[in-house]
Amino acid sequence: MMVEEATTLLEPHPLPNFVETPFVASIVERALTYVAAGFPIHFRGASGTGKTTLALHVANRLGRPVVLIHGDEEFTTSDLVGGEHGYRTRKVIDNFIHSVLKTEEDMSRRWVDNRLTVACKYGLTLIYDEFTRSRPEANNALLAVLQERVLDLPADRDGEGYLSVHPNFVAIFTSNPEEYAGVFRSQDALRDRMVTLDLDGFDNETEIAITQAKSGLGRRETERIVRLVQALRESETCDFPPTIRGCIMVARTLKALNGAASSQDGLFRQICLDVLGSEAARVGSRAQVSRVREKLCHLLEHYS
Amino acid sequence: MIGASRVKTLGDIRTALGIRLRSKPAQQEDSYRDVYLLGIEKLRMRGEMRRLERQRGRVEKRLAEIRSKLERLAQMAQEDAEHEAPSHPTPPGKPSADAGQPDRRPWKRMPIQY
Repeated sequence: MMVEEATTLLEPHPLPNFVETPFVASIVERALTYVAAGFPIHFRGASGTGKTTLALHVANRLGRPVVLIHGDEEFTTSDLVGGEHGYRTRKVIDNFIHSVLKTEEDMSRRWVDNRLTVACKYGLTLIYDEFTRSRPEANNALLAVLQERVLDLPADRDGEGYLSVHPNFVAIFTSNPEEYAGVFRSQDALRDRMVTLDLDGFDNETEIAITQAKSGLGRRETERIVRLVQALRESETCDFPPTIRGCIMVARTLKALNGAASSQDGLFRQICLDVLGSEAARVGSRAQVSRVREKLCHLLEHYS
Repeated sequence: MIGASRVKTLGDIRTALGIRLRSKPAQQEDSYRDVYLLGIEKLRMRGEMRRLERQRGRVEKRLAEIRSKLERLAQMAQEDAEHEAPSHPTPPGKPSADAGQPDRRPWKRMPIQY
């Protein structure tokens, strides 16, 4: 059997407007400490808490090439480890002596190592984004990788059947909390093998700095938008509390349209209602939508 | 000549071969034939010489390839041995000694910005 490998590696780089406040730096340093101690890390938090960005930043600080996997319900072990993908045929026709025709033909199966195998083999950094979106049984191969540092490979693949994990291999996981829709419960055994850092959203200074950096809006106007979103988040009116993405959407649109973050500005009000009103209410629930919009109008008067 | 009754072995029978008798006397034309045959032989030998020189070139080239491949493999084996027995874990935030060079394979690299 022929063995080939997935060969595209990622090199994460921060954007020029990447913000590293003391809050972010503290999380990154903690994560790097656990990695140095030999543990995989797991960023867990709701949408918009910066899990994936932090994972990429930690990977960047580790300085190794990255393989990135996104969890999916359809995932199976072969999507992590590798599998048979087609055949390779070979035919030799030897007619060197014109009166003698010699033909040889053979066919071999083609095995392609997938990203987990490649990362374990060459000591790369694996980022498994939203790993709880994969079925728990698909992640079984990770148990031995994280604990015994051995990857169990199918007997179909050439070789010894086991792959010793490279000492530089590092795994970084991200996931949404288990009460979220579209996720599976992770195995206790897998969760037990990693250090979980819970992300509950950014502190005020970080939220303002990120919104300002990503939108280019002035500091005072950014502060108003962030205060408004935080108040809506804390009002407990919303099905889905608005995240920092909401702040960035409002701020960037306002900047693009040269609006002002003021309740007197009709454009600003409309942007807030469109972005935050729809984001915070479950689709189809008209009553909830109007409750959120009402609350938002009330908050607009107070915070901008 | 001895009589047939006194012949003891076949060697006692006189034949044209035994007395080195040529059926045809040596002629001047034989020399021309030999000159022709030797000319052919000379051409064949020159061709053979050229073929051997080409073969020598191929062998020398292959030997050079083998030598460089052996050196590369020996270097890889040494590096792998070093990986298998790391003396110090990589400190946080610091890339390891071979960072960015997981091996000598032709990786496709794609930047990702965050």
